[in-house]
Amino acid sequence: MQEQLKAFIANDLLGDPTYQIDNEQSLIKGGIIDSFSLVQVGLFIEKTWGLKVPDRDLTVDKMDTVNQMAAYVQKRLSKA
Amino acid sequence: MSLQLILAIIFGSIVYWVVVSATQRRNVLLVASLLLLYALQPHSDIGPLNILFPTVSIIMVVGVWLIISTPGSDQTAGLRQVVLNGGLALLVIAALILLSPQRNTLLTTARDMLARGQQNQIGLLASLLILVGVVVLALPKGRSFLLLAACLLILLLWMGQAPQGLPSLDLPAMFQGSLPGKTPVMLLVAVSALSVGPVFIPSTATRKKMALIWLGLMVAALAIIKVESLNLSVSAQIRGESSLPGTSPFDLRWIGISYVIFRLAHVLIDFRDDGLEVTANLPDFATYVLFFPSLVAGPITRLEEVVPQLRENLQAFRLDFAVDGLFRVLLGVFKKFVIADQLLIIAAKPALFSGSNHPAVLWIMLYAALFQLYFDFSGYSDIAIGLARLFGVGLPENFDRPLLQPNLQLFWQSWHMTLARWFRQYWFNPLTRRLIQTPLRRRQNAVVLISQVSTMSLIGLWHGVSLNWVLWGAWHGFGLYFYKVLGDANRKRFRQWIQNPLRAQAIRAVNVVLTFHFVLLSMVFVVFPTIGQAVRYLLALFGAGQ
Repeated sequence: MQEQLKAFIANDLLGDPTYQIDNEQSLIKGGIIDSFSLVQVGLFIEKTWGLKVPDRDLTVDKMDTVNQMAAYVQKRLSKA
Repeated sequence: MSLQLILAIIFGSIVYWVVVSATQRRNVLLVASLLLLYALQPHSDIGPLNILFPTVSIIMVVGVWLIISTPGSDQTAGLRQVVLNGGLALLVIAALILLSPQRNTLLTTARDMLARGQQNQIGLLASLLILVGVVVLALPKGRSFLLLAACLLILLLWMGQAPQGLPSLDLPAMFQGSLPGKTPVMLLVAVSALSVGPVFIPSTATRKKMALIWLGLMVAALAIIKVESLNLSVSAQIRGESSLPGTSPFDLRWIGISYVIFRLAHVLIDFRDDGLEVTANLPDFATYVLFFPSLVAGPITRLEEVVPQLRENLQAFRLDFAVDGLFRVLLGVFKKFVIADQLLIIAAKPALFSGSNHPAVLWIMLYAALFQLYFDFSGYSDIAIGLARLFGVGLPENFDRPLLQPNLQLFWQSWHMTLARWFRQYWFNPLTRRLIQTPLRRRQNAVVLISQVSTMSLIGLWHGVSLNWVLWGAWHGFGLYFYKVLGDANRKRFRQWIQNPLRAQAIRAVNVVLTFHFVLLSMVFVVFPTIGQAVRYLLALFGAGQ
């Protein structure tokens, strides 16, 4: 799951497949991606894992790192 | 909040942990919040407004809770019954008194009966305590007669002539006069009617429609307070004058209304969009919305951040939390009352700007204005966060070294963070999502432009309904747009540049300075009320236009 997210961020959002992202790296607070890209991450999660990601969940508090994003998806999948 | 009040609250926190039992602490927080809601309401010489605005806030809280809480649970069923009984009782009593041919005699009798109590200001205190009691107890079915008695008492107390300086509620007079003059009373009637609504119609679809009406009503209430011309025209009508002398830009002031509305709006929108019902009981919910440390200047909390703490954190005293809280209060007091208040003297303002100022002086005044705003507001946030911690409640951070950020995107992740978060969740994200799903997605930059500029302009409008605040918002919106477009286009090149650590540090330092000055220049729209003055100041900063 982390790998899928990282591949999407590097390829589609940063346009640079060689970009190395750490699972614990702060993506938004670290200035790697912005709030616009976070909406794209939300849509990617919806498409890939068939979840509905409410707009209120697309925040730096919940999705600043790849691990946080993956944990969010896991939690939502386990509830579904 | 004044220094005396902050000190009183700090001492109050000691009593709270030493004297109050764990089960009663939440109740104490609620009672304190309700009392401070009335006490902190800016005094208006239109007496009834001092009572009316805080009361409408409380009714809003109850009404919204009735909409978004799960119907059928014991708690809601009991409260629905109480609201129904109480509301009907109030209407019947009011109608009987107002329509009675002996109205004047009745009123005079009530006034005479209560005159002695009121001279000692007991009347006001009693009515407040009763009001507080009603909300705190969230009476079960069997006790609704208490509410009836409370309503009757409050009505009589307000109808009696209040002593000088205390508010009285002259209902018949408030229903006379022209339409705008009746706005506050109409607001009271509207929120009361809306609150009683869900008692009759508990279906989810209807509740969702009512949630929308609530949101509309809140926007209208905000508009009356925030739009200068509307504010003045309503207040002039209440005073029975055609217009007011322009001495006070905002005659009607409503304590904490922005923050109350942000907190209520998020649960209403979540319920309307995703059917998210709230399991919190009414006292917990009311404490969350009206929590006194964050009533006046935020932070804009979310329900799930506060309510669980009211159940867990209030059980036992935590020294580390309290020490941290006290430190934050002291830090905030120092920032607000020492640094910010001193900077105010030299901060840029219309009175200090003349055509002959040297550019260097203008720069210093503008630096002072930005630092003043930062220390004032972040100081207030520190005080709020610190006071809340003294009572065992953690609030979200509002500032995270915003003036040291290397780009505008990160500035807006660290300046008034809870406001920016709210607008991202409820405006930027939904709008961007919709735009991405239209043919416009092929032009990503256009989507970014529309989303950023509209979000920031709305944030500007929230600060103040004027063209200058919109321009301030647009300035930041365009800034965010250009940062995104340029950042995306040059990412690879930038990564190569910062491979050398020394160069990376140097670039970061330059970026911090550039971002700071971009924010600094936007201050001219904040400091000056008209575009002409703002532009003249901007030109004068660079030695032009004098």
